[in-house]
Amino acid sequence: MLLDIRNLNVSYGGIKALRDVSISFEGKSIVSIIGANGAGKTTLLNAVMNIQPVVSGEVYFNGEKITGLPAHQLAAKGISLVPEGRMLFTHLTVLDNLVLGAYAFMKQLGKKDIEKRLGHVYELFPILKERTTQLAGTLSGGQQQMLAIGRALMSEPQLLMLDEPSMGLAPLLVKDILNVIKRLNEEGVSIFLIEQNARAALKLSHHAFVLESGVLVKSGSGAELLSDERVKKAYLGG
Amino acid sequence: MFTVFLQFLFSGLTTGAVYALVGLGFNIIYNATSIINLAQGEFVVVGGLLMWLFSESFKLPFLVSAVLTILVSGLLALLMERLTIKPLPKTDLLLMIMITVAVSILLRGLLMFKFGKNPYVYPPFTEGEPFIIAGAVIQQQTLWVIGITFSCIILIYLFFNRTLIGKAMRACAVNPTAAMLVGIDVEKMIMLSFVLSAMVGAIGGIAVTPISLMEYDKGPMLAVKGFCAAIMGGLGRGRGSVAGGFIIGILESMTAGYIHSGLKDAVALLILLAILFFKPAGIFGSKTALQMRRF
Repeated sequence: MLLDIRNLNVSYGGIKALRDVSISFEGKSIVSIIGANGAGKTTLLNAVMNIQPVVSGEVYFNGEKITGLPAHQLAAKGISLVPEGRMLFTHLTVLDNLVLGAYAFMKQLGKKDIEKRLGHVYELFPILKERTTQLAGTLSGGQQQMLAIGRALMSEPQLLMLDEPSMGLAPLLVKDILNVIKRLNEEGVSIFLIEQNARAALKLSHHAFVLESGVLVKSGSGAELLSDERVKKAYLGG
Repeated sequence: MFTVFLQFLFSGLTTGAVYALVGLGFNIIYNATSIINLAQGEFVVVGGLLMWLFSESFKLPFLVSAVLTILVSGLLALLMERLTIKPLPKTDLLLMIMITVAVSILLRGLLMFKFGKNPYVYPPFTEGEPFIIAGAVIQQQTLWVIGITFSCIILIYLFFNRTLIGKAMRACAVNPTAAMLVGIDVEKMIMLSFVLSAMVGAIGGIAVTPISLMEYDKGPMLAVKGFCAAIMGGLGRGRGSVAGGFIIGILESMTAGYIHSGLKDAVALLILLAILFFKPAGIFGSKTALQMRRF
């Protein structure tokens, strides 16, 4: 198993945000979680990255227990999160944001490796190449999302987790972003996706889970869930 | 007439340089943590007094004393951060700022314990005749102070804008969570910012003591002036705080010379009030930076 989440429980000041959530999947797949606002999707990703403390349960990555490891050590293990709200380094330039994305590997990487990784990001998002010296905070929403994904890719993660990458974007841009995700997966990156746009997410996914009020209620292949009556009714608008 | 003005200007530049360094110290920590370290002034005092201890009391050579002073000051800041800042919840910024006040009081107490209440002084870095420019006297040490200040400013600018670790420190200030996600050890960066700013403060203390003497309780006033400089320049803007420091230093010296020396300390506070009323982002700060302030 690439990622193996076992019986995860997370609480926010007495309220249980996640209850006994167990999810596991093999590498090189696209896995998504759909669910309403407040179902605990973001909490789940944050708990995997250890920026959200867990009450009980474990997370294994490539068989290694990562629960309790400091968040800054996870990037070096091959997990990258594009967080909710993008969380760019707004006062730094686009280039600085990207280079810092590879920070976890700075000791191993030479200038050439960084250039190569930058080249890959620019190939996916050509607009970023034109904006290298611009401050990240001054980019448009779509460009900021591209930069957030680009920054996460600079560590060449084995597992890329994305928290609502289409949030607040125009439909055309959403399509672009989803295409990039698909392409990355074809290049061998495993994708763990949270999406409010359930239909798009399910179409893209090999496997998907439905999270309701902190509990996993359903799982199946993307196609199965797309045709599931209950899912249709709750998340696909009938 | 002009000679007198020039004389006030030179003395303003000297004090201004120290305010600039203190302001810079505030910015280093603020930029990495959003904390205002109100013990900043104490590190200038620590620099001056330790330098006296090493060079005059232990009779160590000048350079050895200076390096030791800077290292010990850094170590002191490291202890301060590990013992008082690290254990606190990172969400409560105001609490952390309060703790730095406590540290400043503690440091002052320790300094009084060790050095007593008398002012200390040691000879200037270079012996020799002062320069005379248009009748006004400028001490060699004044040039040292200004030169050292500018060297520090340039080095710190290069550190934050040209080195990866400097950029990583800035990233921590903008968004600590995102910084962790890309693999930056945020706690280490916070520690480093405390050490760095204490060293800058100590360097200021080492340079200025031969001119203005140093005593255990000079810290709070220096912190106030340096804070004014930092606010004036727009909190977080290194170059802004340097300009602010020099402006405050010069205005202070002019006020002392032309009006009354008792009013000197009021200048910085009046400037601070005016800035906060009319231009809270500071002269060189931007509105967006102001909105991002967490208190």
